[in-house]
Amino acid sequence: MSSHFRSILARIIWLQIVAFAVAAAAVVLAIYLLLNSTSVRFENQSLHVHAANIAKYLKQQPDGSLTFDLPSELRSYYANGLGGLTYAITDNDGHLLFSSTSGDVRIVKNPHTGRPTYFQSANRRRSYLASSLPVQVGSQQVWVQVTRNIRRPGLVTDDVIVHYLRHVGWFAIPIILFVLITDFFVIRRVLRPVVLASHKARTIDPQRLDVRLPTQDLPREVMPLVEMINQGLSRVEEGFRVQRDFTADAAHELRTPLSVLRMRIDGLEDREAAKHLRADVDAMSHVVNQLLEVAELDGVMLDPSETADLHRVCLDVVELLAPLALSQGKDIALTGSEEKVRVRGHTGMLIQAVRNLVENAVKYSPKGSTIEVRAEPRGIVRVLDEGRGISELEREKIFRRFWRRDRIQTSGAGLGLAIVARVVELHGGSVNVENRPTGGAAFSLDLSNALIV
Amino acid sequence: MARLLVVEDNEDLAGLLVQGLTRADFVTDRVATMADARDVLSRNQYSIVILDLGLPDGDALTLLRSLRTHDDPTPILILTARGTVRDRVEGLRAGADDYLVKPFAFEELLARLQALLRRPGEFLGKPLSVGNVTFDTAARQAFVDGAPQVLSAREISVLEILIRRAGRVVQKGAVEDQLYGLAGDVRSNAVEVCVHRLRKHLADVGATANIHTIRGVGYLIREIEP
Ligand SMILES: Nc1ncnc2c1ncn2[C@@H]1O[C@H](COP(=O)(O)OP(=O)(O)O)[C@@H](O)[C@H]1O
Ligand SMILES: [Mg+2]
Repeated sequence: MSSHFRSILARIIWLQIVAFAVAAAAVVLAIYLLLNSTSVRFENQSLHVHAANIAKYLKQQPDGSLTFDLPSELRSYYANGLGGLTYAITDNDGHLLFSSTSGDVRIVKNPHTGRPTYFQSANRRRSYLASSLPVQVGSQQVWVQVTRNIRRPGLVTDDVIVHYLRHVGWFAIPIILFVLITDFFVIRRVLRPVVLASHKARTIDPQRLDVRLPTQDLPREVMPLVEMINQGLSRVEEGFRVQRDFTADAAHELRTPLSVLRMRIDGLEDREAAKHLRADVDAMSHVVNQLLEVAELDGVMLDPSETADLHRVCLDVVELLAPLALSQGKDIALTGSEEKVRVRGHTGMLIQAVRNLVENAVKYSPKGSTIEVRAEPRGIVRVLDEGRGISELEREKIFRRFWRRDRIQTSGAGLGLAIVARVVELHGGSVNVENRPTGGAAFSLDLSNALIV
Repeated sequence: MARLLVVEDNEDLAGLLVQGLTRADFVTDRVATMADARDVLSRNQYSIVILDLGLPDGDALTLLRSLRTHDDPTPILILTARGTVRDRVEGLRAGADDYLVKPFAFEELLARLQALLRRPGEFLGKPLSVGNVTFDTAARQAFVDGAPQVLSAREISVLEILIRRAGRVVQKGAVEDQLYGLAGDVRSNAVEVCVHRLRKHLADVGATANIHTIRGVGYLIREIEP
């Protein structure tokens, strides 16, 4: 049932309909049984009266024998079976003394209770209702048994039931409908705080962790659930806060001294030494920034309502890194779509990802080569270079944290592509690398899943 | 002369900043807390405030917000260790004019200060130069190796916008806007033609600066490496 009705309201209404149906059946059954037992009691009483009446015509003669002198009208009454009544009189040992019919007399062996006994019996053709009355005639004990032949037992009661359903039962239907409709509104009203809480729950997202579900007016049954959800939210919020604080503190503690160091180097007399030191500090700052970015991306989730334009992202990255490329004697170009390529995602993070790809392309390609960045309308960003490319074997390793092909010759921490992979993962996309036919690596960010069409 | 306020709690960094800014001809005051910053801001007029965010007496974003709600227009450059995109957005939303993350190159800081000072209403800076090319923004006159150059109005405009952002990319759209500002029609390739001519001119007269085309993005002027 629960799989058919997902709504509490529907479940309650459904259960009520079932309950009404069961109750209705039970009422009909109860009425039937009641009417039945009442009619049996009346029947028994009338049989008893007949038996007592018949007993009056039994006499004991002085010689001790019994005579039975039934008036003729009564005799014919019992004989032709008007009303389906027959009688039989037996002695204490069960020998038949007198009876209304010649054949087919059913004698029930009398229990010695001293009181009238009623019983029913039925065979294939007939049903009987009988009363067996012990009677003392002079010194003799006899039994007068009156039997009613009831060809159609329950005929009367059946009529009553049908009558009841036909005339009274219809009454119940509008009443039941009325109750159900009232139920609908009452339950809806009772559930309103729950519905409000679930509306509120819908607004929870990683950017809005301060949301708590309202507990006001909530029924006691759902209160623990909502309270536990709220407590859980508090813990999640706290977790995010700790992570953010850590990243912020780490950032502060690392970046401020690096700034001091860099400014000191700027003030050095020896320009040549300063140049080298500055390059060192910049490389170190780069690693620190990447470490912080990795830490930050670990504790972040996307706001599903945010959108980004991949063309714009590529434009910003190329604009940002063009000076770097030119200073190393490399050319850089933005090709591909000139229109917006809108995706669900975070502009800043996507810039971070594309930026790392372009930084690599600049870093790992020779002087005089061109780096091409393109946003394609299908939601794919490609970064193409003319460097040595990535061999088959390296293709899955390069996205691991701290993996670098050449630990000695190049600077860097091997975090760039791990950042790319994480950002893409957050966006439900994928990152792939191939070698170009002309040589060089072709990285692609497939964000077609996040594309807004 | 431009007067700057540095709000920075790290003694070393603050000292070095003041030293560097003074050498770059700025009059520079320095405070270490928000309370002191409020105090000096209420008494003096500054051209720019360089604001660190994590201060001993709280988050300087609150100071920034309160300045902006009181309609204080002083340009504010945030200089902070908080580098996430979210931080940056928050800072700019709070009313900062620029946002620079530590560690930074001092030249970068100077360039950003120059840009803030050059905003409308602010005085024009010293002549700009790249390599042996200089540009006098007041007279709108270009020199190569000290020799004045004869350039068309369009070429002058393009050179000016590029040299104001020397070493950085100027988007093609921005150059187009600059040309639309002038009378006459701008055909779709007008910018290309103009840049081409300007580039050729600079090469012909032996300039040590070159205009690069960044395909799909824009242009950039930079010194030719020796
Ligand atoms: N475009 C590329 N061409 C050739 N090799 C690359 C390219 N991009 C990345 N690599 C290889 O993958 C490694 C990991 O890259 P990355 O995670 O960005 O770290 P890092 O650049 O700091 O070394 C690099 O060290 C390099 O060997
Ligand atoms: Mg890298």
